[in-house]
Amino acid sequence: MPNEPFSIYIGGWQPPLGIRLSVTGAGLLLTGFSCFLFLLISFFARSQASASFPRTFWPLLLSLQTGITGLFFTHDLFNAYIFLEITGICSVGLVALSPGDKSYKTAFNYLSVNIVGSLCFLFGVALIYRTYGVLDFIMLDAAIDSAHVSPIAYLSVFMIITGLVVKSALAPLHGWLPEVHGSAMPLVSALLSGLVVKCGIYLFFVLWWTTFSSLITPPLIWVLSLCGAAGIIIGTIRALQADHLKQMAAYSTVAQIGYLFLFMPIISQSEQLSTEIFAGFLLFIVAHGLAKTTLFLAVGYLKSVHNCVTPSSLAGFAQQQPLIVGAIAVSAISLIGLPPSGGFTAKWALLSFHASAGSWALFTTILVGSILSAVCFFNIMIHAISAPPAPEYGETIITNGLLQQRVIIVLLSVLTVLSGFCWPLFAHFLRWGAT
Amino acid sequence: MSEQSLYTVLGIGLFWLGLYRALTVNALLIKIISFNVAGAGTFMILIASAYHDTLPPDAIPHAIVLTGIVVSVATSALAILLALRSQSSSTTKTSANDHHR
Repeated sequence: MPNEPFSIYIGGWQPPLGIRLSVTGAGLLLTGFSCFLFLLISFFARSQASASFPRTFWPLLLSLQTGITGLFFTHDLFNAYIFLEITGICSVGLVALSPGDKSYKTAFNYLSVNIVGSLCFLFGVALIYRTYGVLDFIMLDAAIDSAHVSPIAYLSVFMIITGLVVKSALAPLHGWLPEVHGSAMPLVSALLSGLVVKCGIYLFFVLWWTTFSSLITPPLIWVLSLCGAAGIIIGTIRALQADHLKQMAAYSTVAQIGYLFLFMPIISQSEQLSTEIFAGFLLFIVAHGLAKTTLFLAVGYLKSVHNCVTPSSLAGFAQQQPLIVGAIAVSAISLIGLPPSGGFTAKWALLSFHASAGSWALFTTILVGSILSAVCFFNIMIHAISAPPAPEYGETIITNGLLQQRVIIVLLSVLTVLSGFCWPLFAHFLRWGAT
Repeated sequence: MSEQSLYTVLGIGLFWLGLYRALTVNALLIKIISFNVAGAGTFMILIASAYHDTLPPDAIPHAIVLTGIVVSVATSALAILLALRSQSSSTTKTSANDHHR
């Protein structure tokens, strides 16, 4: 593999006039992952009864994939804004397609959140352009390092961060997420939780570690760690209180976003360590993406086939649907952070970074959050396993579509476990094109 | 105060006004319009930053503002559609309820 990132200049124009798309190891990894997830979800969608699906579903799904892929490659701030908008609008469209009376209202609220996020982001970009005159990540990095840092630069970084935080539902601003992810179709919620939310966080992480690294002030790190820790605790406690499987999954996403944001405050001295942190971060994204997609699809399957939506209605399903309940258990294991799973490896890495940095408060928060989420998920599993077998609803006829859905759910849960062993592979990938 | 910084300050003010109104108001249409006001503020900052007193104006902000206008037209259209649909679905429900009574 070459060591330099592979760059594409759109229309042959070099920055600062043109836009640079750069293929790095991290971008390639996440793109491969997201394309794979999209493929599986497309199969899942195809196998569902197509009558309830409006025809606009497929264009929206493909445009969403375009937006997400573009976000992983772009190295230009304004271009990133465009891709954020594409991603946002397509996900709003997908939410609006969901059946139900309230889906338009939910979609409107989601769109407002997205617009607020993008407006803050665009405002920051405008101030950055006014101050430094460049938008390319690398040129901006050079400009910020050499120039005297003006207060406007701090304001613009703050606004860009606020925009991305709104879009990725960090703790105090997470209120929209459970409503949206809870009311959308299961496969749309799987995409929203598994991938769409991660795009903003990925962009945030890249900017935080490369371009804006010299503008990061200790108060900002403080606020972010606090928000991340709050997200973990609030998300898990609300998941405990929720009495609806999809709501539980949605609140667990809020908690997982908190964990992801705790990757930001770690201060790295060496190149080696920062590669490791990046690898841990990516593994967390992939592991959570797989686990949450499994969870949402399995919950959606149970709802569509057996019409059960609450944890207590799962009683006795371990005998009736062992594969689906097993898939839920595997995703729960990964979300709690128990071995062997991707979630365990990633959370172990996060814990060891915080232990070596000596930030014991965050370390304890992560542990407490894991224990609370264990309580939450074990509650579901106990309902599913310990109760006597549910009264037979009559043999459900296994159609081809249902079989396909089951295969996809089981495949995803197997991958959730396997991703835990991919840690060395991630670090290897990242060495390519690390800027 | 130069003309350029005057417009920048005005743009920043417009952005905050729009954002504040959008976050505090409940009426959907006013919310959409406030988003547009905030967007216009951002575009004004960009246009002001294109100005040079001796050289011809910078081309990049123009491209950015044009793209931004297209994006904001598209999002406003989507927002208006969603607002209409959500209101019509809630009004049909209430009228059905009235009918029921």
